[in-house]
Amino acid sequence: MTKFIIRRLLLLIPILLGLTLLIFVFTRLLPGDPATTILGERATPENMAIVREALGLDRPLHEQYLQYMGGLLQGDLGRSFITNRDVVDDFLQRFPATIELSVAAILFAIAVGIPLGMYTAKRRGTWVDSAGTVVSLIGISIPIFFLGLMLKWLFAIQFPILPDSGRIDLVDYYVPRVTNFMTVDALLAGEPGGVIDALRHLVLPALALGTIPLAVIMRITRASVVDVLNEDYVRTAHAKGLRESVVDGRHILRNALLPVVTVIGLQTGLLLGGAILTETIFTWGGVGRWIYDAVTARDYQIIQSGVLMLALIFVLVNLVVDISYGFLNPRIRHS
Amino acid sequence: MTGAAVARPAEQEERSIGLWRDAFQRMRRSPAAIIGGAIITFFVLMAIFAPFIAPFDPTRGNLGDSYLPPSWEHLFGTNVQGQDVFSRIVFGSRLTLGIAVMSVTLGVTVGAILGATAGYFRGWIDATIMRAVDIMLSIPGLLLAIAVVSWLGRGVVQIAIAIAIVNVPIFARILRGSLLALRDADYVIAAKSVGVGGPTLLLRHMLPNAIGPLIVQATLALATAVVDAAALGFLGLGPPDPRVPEWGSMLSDTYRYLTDAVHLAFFPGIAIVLAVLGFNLLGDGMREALDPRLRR
Amino acid sequence: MRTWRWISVFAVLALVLVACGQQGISQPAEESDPPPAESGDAEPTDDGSMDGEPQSGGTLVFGGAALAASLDPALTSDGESFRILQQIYEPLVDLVPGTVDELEGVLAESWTGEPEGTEYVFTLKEGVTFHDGTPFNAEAVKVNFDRWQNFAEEFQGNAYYYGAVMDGFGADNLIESVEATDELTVTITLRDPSPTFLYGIALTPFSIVSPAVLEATNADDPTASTLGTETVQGGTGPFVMEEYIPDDSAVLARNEDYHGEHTAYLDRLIIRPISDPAARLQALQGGSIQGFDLIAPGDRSAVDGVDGFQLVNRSSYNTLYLGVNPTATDDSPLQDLAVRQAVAHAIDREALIEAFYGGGGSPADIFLPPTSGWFDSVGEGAEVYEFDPGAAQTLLEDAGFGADNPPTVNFWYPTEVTRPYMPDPRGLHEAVTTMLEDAGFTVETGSAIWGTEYIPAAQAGTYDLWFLGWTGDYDDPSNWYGVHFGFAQGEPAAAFACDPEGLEAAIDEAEATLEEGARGAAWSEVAQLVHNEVCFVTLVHGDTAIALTEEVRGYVANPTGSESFVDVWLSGE
Repeated sequence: MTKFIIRRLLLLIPILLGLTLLIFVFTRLLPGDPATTILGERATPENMAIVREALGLDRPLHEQYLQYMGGLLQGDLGRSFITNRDVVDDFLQRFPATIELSVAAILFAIAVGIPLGMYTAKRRGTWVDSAGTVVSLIGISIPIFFLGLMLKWLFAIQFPILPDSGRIDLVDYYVPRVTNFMTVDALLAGEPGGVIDALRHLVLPALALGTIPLAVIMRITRASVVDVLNEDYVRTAHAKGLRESVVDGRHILRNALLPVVTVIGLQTGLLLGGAILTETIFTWGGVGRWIYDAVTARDYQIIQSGVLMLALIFVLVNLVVDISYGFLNPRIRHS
Repeated sequence: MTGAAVARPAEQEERSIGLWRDAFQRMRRSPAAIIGGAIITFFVLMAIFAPFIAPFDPTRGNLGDSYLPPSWEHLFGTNVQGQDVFSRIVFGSRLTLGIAVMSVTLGVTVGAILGATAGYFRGWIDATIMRAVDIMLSIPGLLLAIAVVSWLGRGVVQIAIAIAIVNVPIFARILRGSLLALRDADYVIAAKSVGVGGPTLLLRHMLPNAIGPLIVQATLALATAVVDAAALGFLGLGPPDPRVPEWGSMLSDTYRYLTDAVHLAFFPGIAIVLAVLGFNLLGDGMREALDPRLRR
Repeated sequence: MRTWRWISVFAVLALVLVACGQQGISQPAEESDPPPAESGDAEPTDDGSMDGEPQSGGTLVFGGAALAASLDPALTSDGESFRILQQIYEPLVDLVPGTVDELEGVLAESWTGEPEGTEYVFTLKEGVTFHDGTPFNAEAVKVNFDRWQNFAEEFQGNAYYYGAVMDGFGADNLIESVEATDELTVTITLRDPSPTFLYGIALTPFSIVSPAVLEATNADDPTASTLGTETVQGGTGPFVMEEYIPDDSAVLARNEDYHGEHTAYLDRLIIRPISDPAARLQALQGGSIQGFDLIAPGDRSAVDGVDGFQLVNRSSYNTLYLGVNPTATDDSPLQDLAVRQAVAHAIDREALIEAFYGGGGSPADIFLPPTSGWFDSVGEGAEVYEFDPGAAQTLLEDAGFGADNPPTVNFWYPTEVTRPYMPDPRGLHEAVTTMLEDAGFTVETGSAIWGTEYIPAAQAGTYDLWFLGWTGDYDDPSNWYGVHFGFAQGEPAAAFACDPEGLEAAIDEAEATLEEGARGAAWSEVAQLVHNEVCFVTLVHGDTAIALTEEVRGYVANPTGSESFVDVWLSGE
């Protein structure tokens, strides 16, 4: 196991190296540069030359790359060309928002997807099962931005029972930021009302972002529970007269967890991509929108380091997923 | 001995033809595939006969007719330019289907070539290709597509290329996986032992048997392509000419009027959902039909 | 059943969350039921300060399009940055709220100096302290002016306004000397007379920052400065910075020691960045903000006259124009003056205002907006092009074009942007394209991303026709016609390639004419040349508006952009 982890971690090095080069080349292929963003309507050639020189954009590309890599190796991910803020600071300040949203979305997906998957699996072949299949397929087919807009229109504007945007009501709950997890910060500030308010702000974005994972988890749970139901040991368990809830919990669910873990790994990338859209619609100050804005503003440093950090997280999550396979399924561990 | 060994690949081919016919039969019995096929056929017909279905020219409007509510004349109302939204949705199917098909064809082709190369040659070629695939897969797909469109400039072909690039690593990985699984199959070993090798082995014996999962994935990729194209349009990266009707751009152009005129955003959104659902149903039906585990 | 227990737990949790929300949300809903007692129908919506005695207290959450690009005022040049920084920092003088050409002292009690002269003497306000407790005095002013003049190269790109107003950086720019004559007197000597100097230093980038804070934040070191990124107490304004979280919120608290007529009425002002105009409106309707700027024109009806909301109109100091470049493509039909005139006659400005500005705008006859003090004198004699498709067709026919050989032009619009003068570039482009086609043109469409691709390409003169606009920095014709059509080394501005006989001389003459009456006439010469030559087609002066909930009072809009919140208060329910 340790050997496996080490091997996987070593494999990360070429991937990350390749990634830095790929992203660097990509940023420089994009038409325009940060100088034009900074100057806007006032971008005369003379002004642009001044800004380019100031940002070091007038130097040869290989020099710029080597300088970036040099900083990277010393743990310096650079500063935004436009705001001059430290990229890591910016990332750490926004990333908790994205995590909070993604975790809420995944929890929602699991909390609803697994029971529904199990329920439909046990009623395989009935109309309940067919209905479940159709519903899950529709869930997979609704684009996040459309679902998000419709949820917002329905529950925040037509029938305003949930907040439309933001992470907490800034008037009622003035919460100092410590961790940047809004729920945690509200708790630390001793504002139980703030925690609930922060959770309420999570509902619509989490529904929008969690619906596709929900549908996927539901489908996979259904499929794997159907497989497991046919296995001998479940039949034996039933035959032994074990209560259904015990069989559910001890045998079926445990085996069904495996595909769910897979889905979480697969959906991480999707969540991060979907976060761009969700964060746009619900003005949720996370990393997705941050990087998207950096692409449009050509803020090279943020694109380079931000995407790198996201990719690193993506790869690490998948590593953890692979490792947890081993724990969940002894057969894989030994082979 | 030799005779028998040579016969086996041929037998395998026959079986693979049988497999396709069988799969088709199974699909005809799958409600998912039927509904999905019906939806897609509906959109394809809509795209082909758009000029006969649409009551108005989707590109012409009159500012005097801005924001008319839905009526018998304008089924889905009009937008700010006074263009008929229904006609724009009808014509929009052309672009949506076109981008989807273009991007998936391109993605499958390049992905399959890479995957086949990696799976067949193994060694350092395999390692290099698969590391590149890992790198591509570690960037969120939508972000990659955004970056590619920003790089290539805006346009229908550029959008298709961007979505194709996102799909390439997925297809490459799937085909390589299937090929690896086949390497140890009896008939491949047998074919090799009688001197069938190189491209012939790959193209005639291995590919036809590895292509099933690829086709399923391609159908499902059509669904994601529709979503991705719409998402790009939603983010303002759709076709540059605003008069070209595209569902995602139609949604993003009008969703700010949610409070007053929700129908302007609703109808293009529903069109996207239906098209995606159609491809998903079709892909789902195909997967079941082609899944060896489900075959009896 | 275990399954159902899962689902029911989740359902209960969801209900709790929804129920908790209803208590909070029901407030505005109840409010709108009874007719608002103190604000009748006749309430003037553009000036809330009339109704009632201001009350202190409360928090206002305001939605901006973004937070500040930098927290160092000298390094900013956009309205969103100004909105935040002008609450915290103050310049020596400022425009009287609601005007574009009347100055009042802020940190300066009074001043002397003439447009024709080079010496300005400022008498500073007594007893002003910075938020960090250090005293404001003549030395502090000198420190700031010296800092700007000696900005390191890395800063110069972002310090756009200093460079523009003071003609660059370093020892040989417009500033000859800044002397602290005594504790409260500053004498600024210019190298040449500058009619725009006073208006220039009224801009937010010329705000005075505490020298102690400048030093503590290494503000002169481009690689180490934290002035632009950290929460510091370096201003003199009505609000102090309490917390600044990029992309999330700027929290400003009342400065209890404010030197103005009164301290701010609000306890706190929180600015939230919401980049999407639709999301801003939805946030106002949903109750998570109490006001936002730059409402999309199409959304005005959702707020104007609607119970619980009010609209504050900001008369425009901007202009949208259609750039016309006859040399962008070889053999361009636009080389023919008649074809350019046909373009100008083809466009129905009123229809554009109705469809895209929600009626909040006026047709732009000349480049300068009517709010400008120079409007009448400069506009005199310039050709005004009425909407007349028939005339456009005749002009094209006379120029030798017809249905079988239509004049072909490319026409570009920017993406990823809305501007006060350009609320919907894509929609405007589509409508104008249709108008041009109706007049007989064949139009090729192009689009590019605003900041990174579009502006540089337009500036380089690569588009035949394109949209751009301008919001005046201060009220002087040179900030309009001079900035756009000025010559460099004998070459006309590449964007327009506008080079009619005598334009360069006319501009030089106008820039050098300092006496007010003669200056208007001199710039009118320039205006006539560019308008008669159709170097661009001025289209619309777009009004902007601030949407507020009805309890927000005292908000007075400034034509030049963002506003101080010192007079804003919340009426008690």
